[in-house]
Amino acid sequence: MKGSGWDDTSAAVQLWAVSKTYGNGATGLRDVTLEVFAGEFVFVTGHSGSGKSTLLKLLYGAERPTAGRVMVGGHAVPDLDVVGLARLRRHLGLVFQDGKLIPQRTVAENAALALKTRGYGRREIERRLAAALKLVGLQTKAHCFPAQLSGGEQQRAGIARAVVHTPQLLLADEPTGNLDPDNAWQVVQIFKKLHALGTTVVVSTHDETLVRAAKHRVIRLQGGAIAGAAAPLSVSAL
Amino acid sequence: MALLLFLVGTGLQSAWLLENTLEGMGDRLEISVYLTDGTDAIQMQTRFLQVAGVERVEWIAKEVAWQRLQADLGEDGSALGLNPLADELRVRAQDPVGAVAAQLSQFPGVEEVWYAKEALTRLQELRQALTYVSVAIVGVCTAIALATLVTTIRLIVFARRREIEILQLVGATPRWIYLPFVMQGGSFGLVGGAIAWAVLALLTRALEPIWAVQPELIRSLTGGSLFDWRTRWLLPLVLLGFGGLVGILGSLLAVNRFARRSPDLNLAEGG
Repeated sequence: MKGSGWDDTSAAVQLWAVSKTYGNGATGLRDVTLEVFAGEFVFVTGHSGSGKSTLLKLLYGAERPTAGRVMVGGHAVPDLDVVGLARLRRHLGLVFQDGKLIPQRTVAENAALALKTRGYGRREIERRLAAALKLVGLQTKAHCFPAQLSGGEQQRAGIARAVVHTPQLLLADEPTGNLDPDNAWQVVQIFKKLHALGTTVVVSTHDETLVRAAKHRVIRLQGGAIAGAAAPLSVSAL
Repeated sequence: MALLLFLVGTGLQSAWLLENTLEGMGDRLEISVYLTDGTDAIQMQTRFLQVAGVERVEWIAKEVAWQRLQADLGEDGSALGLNPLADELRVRAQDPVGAVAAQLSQFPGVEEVWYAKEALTRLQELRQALTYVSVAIVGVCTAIALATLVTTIRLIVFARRREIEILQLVGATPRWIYLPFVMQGGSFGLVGGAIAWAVLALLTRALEPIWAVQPELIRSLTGGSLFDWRTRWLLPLVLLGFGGLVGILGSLLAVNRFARRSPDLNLAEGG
């Protein structure tokens, strides 16, 4: 399958009885069923090893489930071939704990990658870049290399790359893990702005304070399963 | 890569040189027919012309041949005494020369028939052998060059794996990611071809003065093929084309494994 379209009519994310066991026998996820609707802002919380990162990896296709079904934007992610997965990722924005910036490229060049792979023209790239860098507060650092930025700025540069193409779904895996409280709150505010523009946001974090302050739906994972889940759709909202 | 292409170029030039030599000899495929004493050469000339395959017959009287021999030998010629030569008819024939020579030898009054069959056969065998050896050498060198290139490109891909992983995460297709590597492989091939051509051109230039003092026979046989249009125009095209092809093929082989594999990045850390 080489599907590239994004199905707005279905839920942004759907998991049915998804389990993931790694080659070494470690359990990533156990029988997880959940749904994230388009336009939602959801936190995935849990201790280290609870399965947060595994869940997000399954959503952007870096891992395949051992059992169950993973649907993102109307596509069964494990069924996508390499090209199909690349096309699906064009609808996603991915943020990681360490920013995942290319050290030899400037902030602007890193952020522009997401646009270049989508075939945008130079003017459109410049227009979108300016807006994205303004959103994350890095207008004056566009020509800096990652090594010239602080940890918080590097994270925001990674966010700029993730949002520059206005994705349908933003997946952030421990985006505040390396940041102090002020920078962490700044990052959450950026996500909120993006959410206000209509993007579905899924953020994994172990920072309960941040989750409580943000006031959004929370999915709690424990030992790879949804915590306290009796029913398949076990979601608690704060 | 440059070494492979240098060997390809050397093989090609050698093959062309031999080919020219063979063509040169083919032009000179004359049959020398020596007549017995008392045979009417003019009458034989007329009869030979009626034989199928004979294009031209030239009579060299034994007196003329004798004078030429004496002139060639200089003072030593006078020691030969009486003229021992026979009248000769030089026959230019179409292929197959052997069949025409056999027919001419049947005529009464013909003492001996001679033509350069042996040399021609040997040269054809040499060309055949050279072709086999060239193909084998080029095959082995191509395999080595491909293996080297595949390893080189894979090392480059490995060195840039973090960048590639990030490109995969932002939705770049395998073609978008790996096309630069294929182009890089192709450019390696082109540069190798250019180096090989430059070395061959320098060697050819260096051989030019040596070639110029070779006997007329050798120079005329090879038709000056060291510097003909093939060496000047075809050789660089072949070297650049073959180099580019091997480069692209090698890099395609190198990236194919990565490009077809679904990303399994294990990039994210934590829970």
